[in-house]
Amino acid sequence: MNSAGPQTPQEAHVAALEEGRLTFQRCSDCGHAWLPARHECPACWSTNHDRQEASGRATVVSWVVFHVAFDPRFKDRVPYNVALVDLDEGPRMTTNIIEIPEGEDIVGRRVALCFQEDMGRKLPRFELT
Amino acid sequence: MGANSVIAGIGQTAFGKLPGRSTVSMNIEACGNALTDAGVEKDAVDGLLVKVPTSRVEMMYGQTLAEAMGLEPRFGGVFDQGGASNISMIALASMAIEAGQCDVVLVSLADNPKTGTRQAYEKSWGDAADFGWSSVVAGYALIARRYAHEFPGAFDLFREIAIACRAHGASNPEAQLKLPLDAGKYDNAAWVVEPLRRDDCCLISDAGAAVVVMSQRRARDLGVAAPVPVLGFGQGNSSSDVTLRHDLTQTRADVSAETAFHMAGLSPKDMDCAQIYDCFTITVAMTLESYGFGTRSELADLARSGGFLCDGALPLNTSGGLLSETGMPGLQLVLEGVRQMRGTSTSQVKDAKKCIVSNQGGIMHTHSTLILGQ
Ligand SMILES: [Zn+2]
Repeated sequence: MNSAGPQTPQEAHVAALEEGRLTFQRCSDCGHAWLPARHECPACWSTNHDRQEASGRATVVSWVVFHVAFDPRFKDRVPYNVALVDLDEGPRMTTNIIEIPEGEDIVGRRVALCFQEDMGRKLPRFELT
Repeated sequence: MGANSVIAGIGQTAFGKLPGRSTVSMNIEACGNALTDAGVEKDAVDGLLVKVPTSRVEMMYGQTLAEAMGLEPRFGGVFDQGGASNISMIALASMAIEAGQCDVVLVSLADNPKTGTRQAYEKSWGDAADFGWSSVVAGYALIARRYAHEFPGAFDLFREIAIACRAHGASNPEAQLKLPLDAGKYDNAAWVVEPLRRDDCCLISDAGAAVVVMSQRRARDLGVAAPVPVLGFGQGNSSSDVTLRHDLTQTRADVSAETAFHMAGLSPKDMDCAQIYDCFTITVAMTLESYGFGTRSELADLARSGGFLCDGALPLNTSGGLLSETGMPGLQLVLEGVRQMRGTSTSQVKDAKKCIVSNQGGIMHTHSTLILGQ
């Protein structure tokens, strides 16, 4: 963490994840909610925002399965999935789905947050409900 | 209606693996060939627009290239919209000429990811890297999965797009991949990032291409042999990262085409062939829909009936596109549009008089459209 200056929105987001909390920003002026962390509200450019904790309930927008490990850290993990989910509060995020049944189309499926220790950090993943 | 400009000349390098060639060297070869094709001397050039190479981004690349070419352009520099840059630069050249800023513009593109680095296409993406989120192909796969959820005939359409592009590439002696594709080979190829298979993905290529843009009047004065009129152009940018895009299966390609069609005073039914940016098959499917060539199921029907082949109702990527001719990001599609209008394609469409060309960049972040005529 940067001790020399104030915490950036991204630093605050990462610090919350380390405490096992998935957070997002909500604009104090127009109410828009977003991820990833930014200084300005992308809807109205306001710099006033609250950090709120997500309920952990979300819906799958799309997902893919990597059969090639472009990132060498994943060479023993293929095939693995990466998914986009829309949190019920609005923001969209990139994540993994803990288990996808073979041959199933999970677009539109409801999922729930489930933190897992991996990659040396607490990763906010989701499981089908 | 329309622009007053023409594409006066086209040029390219070989496509494939070109070891030892810098992007500057490939740009110069392509530009030289384009000037020779136009029958214009280097001294006539007073504009130089170039796409920044993806493999190795350099500041002031446009000036580095101009220096190596011995040019001091009145109008020049780099334009960065990824693969949409090519058509956007042709549009910019046309507008600059119209506004009296310059007279003869070289628009050029070269890149060497085949012998250089593919890092730009395979890198991990920021905070999501720890989930394994990496590469350009995965971004397109996310779009393709959502598209297939919305339209169950998606994979039939993707397959036919790949087969048509590969058929045209097989007829093009300059193509990097001259291997025709059939349904069995497509279906049995390995996944790269599911739901995209190997043959849904474009080639990786070292390559350069260039065009010469000038006014119709200047082309007449210089005695240019085969100028091809620019009838319309447009652009539209989704801009958002694919993971944040509100609707994954819509881009601003519709706005881009609408602008170009309006400028040309034409509509999709007037087009005799289409050169559509095919970095991945999904891109072609979405672009044709956005351009007004049919609904998803109409496009799938058209594809199944051979409509994308060079004797079909909507001949597609008649030199093979990024899937078969060269993976170079986009200017080769403009060159093929010019050849179709001149009647010199290796898969010539009979009596072709109008051609639409699409370019796009990033993971459908940017889009540009060009309409060429006779
Ligand atoms: Zn706001």
